[in-house]
Order: sequence, then C-alpha cells, then structure tokens
Amino acid sequence: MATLSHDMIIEILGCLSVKDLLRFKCVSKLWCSWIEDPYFINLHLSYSLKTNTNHSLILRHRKFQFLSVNYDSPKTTRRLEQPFGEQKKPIQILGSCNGLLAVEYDYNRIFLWNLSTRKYQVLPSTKIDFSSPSICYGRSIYYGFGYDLVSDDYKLVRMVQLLGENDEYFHSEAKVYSLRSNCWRRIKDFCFYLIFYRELGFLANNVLHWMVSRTPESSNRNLVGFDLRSEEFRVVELPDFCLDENFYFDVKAMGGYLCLTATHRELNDVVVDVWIMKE
Amino acid sequence: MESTSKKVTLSSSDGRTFEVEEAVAFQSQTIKHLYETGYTGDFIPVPNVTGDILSMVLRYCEKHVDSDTAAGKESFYDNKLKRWDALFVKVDQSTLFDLILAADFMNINSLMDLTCKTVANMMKGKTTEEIRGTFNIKNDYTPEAEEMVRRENQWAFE
Repeated sequence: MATLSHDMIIEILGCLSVKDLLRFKCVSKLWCSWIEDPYFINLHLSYSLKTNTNHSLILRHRKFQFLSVNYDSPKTTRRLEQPFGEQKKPIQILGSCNGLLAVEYDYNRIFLWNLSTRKYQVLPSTKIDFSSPSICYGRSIYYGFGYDLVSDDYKLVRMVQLLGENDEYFHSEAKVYSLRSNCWRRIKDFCFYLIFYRELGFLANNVLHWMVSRTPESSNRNLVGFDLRSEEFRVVELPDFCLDENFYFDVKAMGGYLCLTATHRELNDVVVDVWIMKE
Repeated sequence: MESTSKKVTLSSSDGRTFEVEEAVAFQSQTIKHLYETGYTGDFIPVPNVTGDILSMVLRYCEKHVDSDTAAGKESFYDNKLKRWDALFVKVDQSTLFDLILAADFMNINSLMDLTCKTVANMMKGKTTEEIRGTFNIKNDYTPEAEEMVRRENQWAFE
C-alpha cells in the first residue's frame, strides 16, 4: 500500500476530533510530535472554526456544574468533569473564546480551561489595588475574555468598580491578564458604568464590547470597546436610533460580528430587531 | 459543453492514454499551470499515477467540471454532487491512498479534501493499534513511554 507523506497525514489529522488526536499520540513518537506541534494545533483550530466542527454549547447547571451540548448531536448532553473535582463550590463563566473558557471557581480562583483537551491553567491571583471606603455600595467586578490576533495571546480583562455612599464617589480599576506572560498588569482605568451585572464582554474585530452609561442614573446607553491589541478602552459610536427610549438596546456578538439587539413591545408581542455591524 | 472545446491527452505511469476536454484536465492545477507556462507537447505525462487511478481521477474531474457552471450553484445540484462524491470514495483503503497521492501530485484541492476527510472518518474511534496497521507505522515507544503518554490523556481512551 502507498505511503502517505507528512503533509497528507497532517491534512487527514486536521479533520479528526481532539479526543481521537489525543489517543493517536500513542501511535508513535513521530505522530505525537506532529499532533503536539503548535503549527498543527493552529491548523486544527482554524479548520474547526471554518467548518463549525468540534463545536459545543456550554451551559451552567445549578451554579456548580457545566453541561456541554454537542452542536452535531444536540440531543446528547454531557456533564463536564471539573478540574477540581465535584465540590459544591459556585462556578462561573467569565468568557469563552476558541474553545477556551475563562472560569471563576469559588469566588476567588480563576482558571482557563481547554474543554477539548480537558487541560486547565490556574491564573495567578491579583489584588484589587485600591482600598474600599468604610461605607461602600455595589462593588462590581466585570470580565471580558478574548484572543488577540496581533500578539497571538489570550487576554482576560478585569474591571472593578466601586460606588461610594453618594454617586459622586467612584473608583475603578482595570487589569489585564496575558496567557503568554502568565501575569496581570494594571492598565489605564475604565471610567464608565457598566450596566448589566455579570455581563460578559462580546468579542468582535479584536475588540471586547460592553454596554455602559456615563453616569450611574443615566438611561443613555453607550458602547465601550476594549482593544485587545492596544489594551485601551474607547467609546464606540452607536447608531442614532439608539436614542429612542421605546427600545431596549443590548450588545451581542454573532459569527465574529458585533450586533445590537433592539427590543420593544408591539401590542401584545415582544419584538426583537437584530442589527449586525458588518464594517 | 461545447463540442468544439479543445481536447488534451494524458498518459499514465503504465502508458495508458486518456483523451479529455481541456476543462476536465484543468481541474488539475498542475496540468493547468503546465499549459499556462507554454507546454505544447502532444500528451501530458502523469508519471506518478497508474491508469486505473487516473481514469478514476478524470471521472471525478468530469463530474466536477459541471459543478463550476451555473447549475452547480443550486443546492439541489450541490446535494446531488455530494452524494456522488460519497459513492465515489467508497473504495478500499489502498485505492483511497492512491487517490490522495494522485490528488496531491495533480494538485486537485477538492479531491484532496474529499479523500482526506474520508480517511479521517475511517479513523474515528479506532484504537492506536488499528491506526498503526492502517498507516503501516512501527511503534517506536518503549512500553513505559507509551504508558506515560496514554496516562496523560486517559479519558480519550475511555
């Protein structure tokens, strides 16, 4: 029988599931080195993204566990075995990108979890670098997680916001974690009010997005983007119709595009318009 | 297809010749490139491919030439072509490997994708021992080393 070249075998391996690939690392030392090669891993990821294969929907179930639904066979649901065993500690998704989940465990430990290989990495902990006033309301922590194409790095951004007794008092801190350097760095603060509790950042065009307001009581929505490359926050212009108070606006991402949902009532129906930004 | 279209002759490694429409042969980027750079010979040698395999490849190219025309854009036609492709690769493993080598040599991307995906589908759920057999690979691990790699990803074996 004909012998296939390295390139041909790589082409074939690129179509397999991660589970099969992990098993085939035992075929030979050479195959193991091919499968572990970062070039191949990238190839496999881009093939999976392009063809929508190896694709799962992850749901949190009863605060303590995750369920995985395979896109190819939506009827089968699998409970994910957690890295730290089955302890009844709250677990929360902070973001997801390219099959990597950023997860907070038991309110203090953050880890990145590759659901395909089931490997995980615990992030170094980082303090909040400002002291709380004696009376404080609503300390909120927000996260966003994404992959930066330019530096080929996964980044987790954390924003802590502290509102004092009167609305005048506002303190905020922003830090970014880079997987490549495995450390947190403080960056220029983020001086907007995030609107939704526990809202995750939505990634489009290398930028994470959140809905914000400029003052706590303001009903005017603004969209703020965090550029994963420059690590800066900036306001993203919303279309004029977003000033219409009859609509309830929110931001999401779909297929790598930013989209805006506008919800309103029409007689007895709730109507949602979805706008996709293609530029 | 126009009856006046140009024909080209391909010659396989075992000396068999095949006359096909230019458009069919040009599904192969290798052959297309050869002509574009001014090749003027009477026939094109395809030295790495036997007559049996070449005739299969050309049958594939003929089918896919039509898919490049307007009809190919319709999903009805597309589905029909997919079914045809699925039947086309229902061959034994040795023929499938020969088709991969031919698709690579003749540089026919869609055939390469199709055949590689077919092999990948055959590999799904197979044990490492079966894969060694399929690809004729000698296990160069010591039993201890193999056990270590296996233990790292034990769940993938369950």
